[in-house]
Amino acid sequence: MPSQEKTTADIIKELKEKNPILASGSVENPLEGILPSPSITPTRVKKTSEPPENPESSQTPTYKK
Amino acid sequence: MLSNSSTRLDELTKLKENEQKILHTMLEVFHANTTEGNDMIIEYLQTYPLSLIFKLSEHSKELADFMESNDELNAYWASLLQDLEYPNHQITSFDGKLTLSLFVQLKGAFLLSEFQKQLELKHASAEVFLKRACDIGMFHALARRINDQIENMKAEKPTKLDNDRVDTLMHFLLQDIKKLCNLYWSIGCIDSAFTLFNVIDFLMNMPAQKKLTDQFLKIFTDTKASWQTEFNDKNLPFAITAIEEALENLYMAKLLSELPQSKLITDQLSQGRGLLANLEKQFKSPQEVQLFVKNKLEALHIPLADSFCMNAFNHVKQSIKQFHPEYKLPAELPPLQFN
Repeated sequence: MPSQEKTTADIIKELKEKNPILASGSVENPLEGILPSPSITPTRVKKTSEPPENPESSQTPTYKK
Repeated sequence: MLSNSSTRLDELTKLKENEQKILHTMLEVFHANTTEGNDMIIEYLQTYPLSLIFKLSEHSKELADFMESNDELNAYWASLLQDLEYPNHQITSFDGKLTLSLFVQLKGAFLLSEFQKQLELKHASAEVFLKRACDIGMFHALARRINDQIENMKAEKPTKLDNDRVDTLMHFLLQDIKKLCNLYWSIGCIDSAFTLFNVIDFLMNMPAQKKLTDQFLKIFTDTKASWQTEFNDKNLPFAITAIEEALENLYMAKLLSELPQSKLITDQLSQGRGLLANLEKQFKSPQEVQLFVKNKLEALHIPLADSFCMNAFNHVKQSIKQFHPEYKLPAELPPLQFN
């Protein structure tokens, strides 16, 4: 709970003073360093109708862009 | 390894001294519960980097709830999600039991970004980020973990896998697959279906599983006039479970594909390219999935193929009636064509 001596205006003033991000202005890009979504699906499907002889040789899916 | 991995997530969540002050003061403003104070919090949050927003929400449930429910902030989160090429609307699952708010999805996007970074650095911590993103229900996280599980499965020698091990592997795989289908409607079902077709190939290369499956199929060939199994029958051989589930997912994808909530998710996840967006090399025309299924059933020597499909279709109708009785369902088996 807020101290009784402080008004909301006081607290907001304090927030401005204590907030180094605000003190230096808004960040230019909130998403800086955040990678975008990967491509939609790692699914792969073979058109061959027979099950593969060696499952370990199956095509490796691509996941990332 | 786990403690090291957890530590990395802890580090990412830990507040620096100045950030602790921000949190403390922000909570003071929040507790004062004034319009002016709340407006200030909304304004300030929109100046913070996503990494700090993530931290603040991890440290204060009150703030996290506020971030999740405030309309102005939701519009802002939606714009960030769009910039990151994620769906930018709240997602409600097919069964109505799960909801992914915009803010929760944004946290998931942050976790996925960290996961990708850790993965590139080959850090063991990557799995922790992936797990958190899967817990949230992020599409890309679930699809990735499903993929990893199959790769891990394939890394084991089919001849050395016993039934208990397969049981465990399939249990976790199907758990993720069901979540993907439930949250992402048609596009989740399509992805899951083709994943399961891969699992079938793997299972049929296991001598013990193949023998069990062949015995089961022989019963149908010899004695049955039509294919009929219970919905979610736990006693079927794994390969049959997998192919039934794959077909059910394809029919589910088909039946849900024109519904607005499903279309929206498909359009956003595929950037408007459609349900088979990532399978363009395999399927050049909408009819090719139908042919693929026909060939697959033949290759697996599934008897009563038409009846097998109808059985899967009936399971899907049962499931849709349970959760969305308002939907009109076709009586006839629809062709598996996807755009």
